[in-house]
This record gives sequence, C-alpha cells and structure tokens, in this order.
Amino acid sequence: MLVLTRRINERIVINGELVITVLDVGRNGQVRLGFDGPRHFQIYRHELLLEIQAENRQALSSAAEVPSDLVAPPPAKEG
Amino acid sequence: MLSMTKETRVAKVTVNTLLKGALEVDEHQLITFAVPLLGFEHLKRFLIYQTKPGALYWMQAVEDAKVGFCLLAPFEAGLDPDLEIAGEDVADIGAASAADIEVYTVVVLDPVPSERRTNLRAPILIGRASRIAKQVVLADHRLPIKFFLRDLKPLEKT
Repeated sequence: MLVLTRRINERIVINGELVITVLDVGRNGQVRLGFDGPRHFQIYRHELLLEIQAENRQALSSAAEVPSDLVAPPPAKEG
Repeated sequence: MLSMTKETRVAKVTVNTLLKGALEVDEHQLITFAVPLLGFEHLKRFLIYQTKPGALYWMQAVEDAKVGFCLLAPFEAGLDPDLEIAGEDVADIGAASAADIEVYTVVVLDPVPSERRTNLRAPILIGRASRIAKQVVLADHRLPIKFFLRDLKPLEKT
C-alpha cells in the first residue's frame, strides 16, 4: 500500500483526473475529503458496498429454499 | 420469400436452474454483467425467467446451477421508486435511453415472511436490446437497501 502524508488543503491526484483534497481533520479522528473528477469515477463509502454485497449474499442463500407460495405449483395432471 | 436461415437461427443453450431443472433457452435470453454483481465477481452470465406471472423473477447463473436469485420488477409491482440513473450507467449497459432499460431489484426471501425485502439502492439494470446488465449503486441515499415487501401496497384495481 502506498502511504502519503497530507495536511489540510493538500491534494492527491490519481491518474491525472481524480483530485482528492483533505478538507478537514477533526480531533475525533474524522477526516473530510473532497473529490473532483470526471463522472465516470463512481465514488462510494466502502461500508455501502459491503452492505450491498452482504444483502446480495443473503438473497442467494434465501433463494435456495423458496417459499412455496412464490412458485407456481406444477400444472395439474388431467384425469 | 427471402431465405434468412443463417441470420434467424438462434443458438439454444441449456441452463441448469435452481427451481426448474434444465431449461433450454434462446441464447439471446441470457444477460451478461458488464460489471459483476457485488460478491459474485466470478459469474457473468445469467438467465432471467419466471415460474409464475407477476412481478417476481428469478435470475439464474449460467455457470453455476446453485447460484440463483429472486428479483422484483419494482415498476410492475406497483412501486414507483425515483431512480436517477447516471449517464455512465446507461452507457455501461449499452442502452440508448431510459426507455431502453429493464429494472429489477434483488429480493431477500427471508424465512420470516415479514422480513422479506428488496434492495432499491442497488438495482440491476439491463439494456433491453443489448442484454448487458449492471448492478448500479444509486447516489440517492433515501433509497433503502432493505425495502420490506410487507410495505408493498397492493395495486389499486380501477
């Protein structure tokens, strides 16, 4: 992992396109970052992606045992 | 009459499904993820099929019969979520416009019926013609990751 030390208002540039600015460092350990770049950079909090991933996995395991009211019964045999 | 044999011949593919065993489908019924589903990075091709009419669908991994998901078509279910889709996402699935996109949301069929839910924050978008799919993460934080299906209002019959 690349490690850089930055102060408030200092920036980091990624691929010449994405500029990250350290806006504030709070005493509580919180760091505020600003992002400037083209819209094709989709920037998310990691926790959000983890939460969606966890929900996808839950969806998988739940589909293995489908409640019978959600699946049509097999067509009734005639006669 | 023009002979179009070569052009119209559709390749058939057999997909082993979780619910319905082996299904023979036209290849163009399959979707391909441009960006993989979070947590399922190794799977790209899926079949979407139904077991009964309605707003619920099933999404079956072609490469792994054990991987299947329940999906909801929210607009067919009477939900009208305000989904603001980024231009990049539209381009990623090879869609020309919003009208060219199918929208599904991933359903968790919790064993407790009241806990059954769907993820409105990260819908699966599919280009209607391209059959390219992507699970997008929408910017609007008001869209719930856990929208409980018990809150679905039955469609008003008019």
